[in-house]
Amino acid sequence: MNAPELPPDLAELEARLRALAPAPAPRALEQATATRLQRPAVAAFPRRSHYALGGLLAAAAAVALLVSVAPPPAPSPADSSLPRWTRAGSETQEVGESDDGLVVSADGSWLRRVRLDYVDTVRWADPATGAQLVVTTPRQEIFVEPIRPF
Amino acid sequence: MVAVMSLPEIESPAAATAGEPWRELFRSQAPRLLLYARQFAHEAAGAEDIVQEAFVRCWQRYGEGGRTTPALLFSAARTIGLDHLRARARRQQREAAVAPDPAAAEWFACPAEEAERAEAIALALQRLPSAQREVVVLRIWGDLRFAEIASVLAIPEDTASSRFRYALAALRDLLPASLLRP
Repeated sequence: MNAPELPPDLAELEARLRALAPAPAPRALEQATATRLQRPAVAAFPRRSHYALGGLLAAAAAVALLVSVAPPPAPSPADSSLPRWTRAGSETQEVGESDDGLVVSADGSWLRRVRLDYVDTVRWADPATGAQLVVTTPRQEIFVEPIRPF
Repeated sequence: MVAVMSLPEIESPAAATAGEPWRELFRSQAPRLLLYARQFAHEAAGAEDIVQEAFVRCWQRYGEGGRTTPALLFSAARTIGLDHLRARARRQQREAAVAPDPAAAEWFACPAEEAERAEAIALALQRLPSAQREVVVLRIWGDLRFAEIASVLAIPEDTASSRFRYALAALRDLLPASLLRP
């Protein structure tokens, strides 16, 4: 597509604006970029990396095993005393929500992105010993909704 | 406000970029990207973060051989810049419009006698609606074609062209006539 020609006064203004050059980039920025490019690709997105690190830590911390105080009997060769876990219940709790607002996808389309954070809890019990096991797992659901801005 | 006369800090001898092809692209695009990034992050450090992130993200994803284009760099900078704006809005617990950049005079490299004009233009740019300002920066200082601007902003090419025209007309009205004379 050929853009329509500008009126003379606007064309002159455009030329005057073009005469101004953007300020140069600081040398430190080039050095910092060089440092980033020398790292492995997986470390290339520090703004995202704290999410990833946080997720790992949360996952490690959240898979918590809480065993009741009932002392299990020592295993015997017959293994008859090993816990026989049965599912005693589960629940899901929403613990957070964040709206990332508008994001641009890789193909250039607009999306609205919302993150919902949950903690899933599953309880297990061994009726024979009274032992209980609680497993909690963090989970994040990300919803994206296409948006037509125009 | 006194504008800072900025001379290029980075020499660009060909030997300096030999073996590191990204440097050539960086040196040609970083000043333009910085100016664009300042539309999202008025503090210099924030704008530099956006540029660095955009460049690293594009280079590592698309690499060399001409696959990392200026339009891709500006597109990445825009995505990161919008994230920056949202994060700042959350931090400040408000959704107010971006305040004028107090260091607007540093947007451009110019001799001292041109400082007043450069600052006036930077301030006038900030008074434009963001949609128009982006098109002006991408077109004039980003040196992108309207088709590329359309892809960066996810808008039709005709819209990019008309926004540019409206923006220039608005700038003409915002700038003192004395600053537009040769």
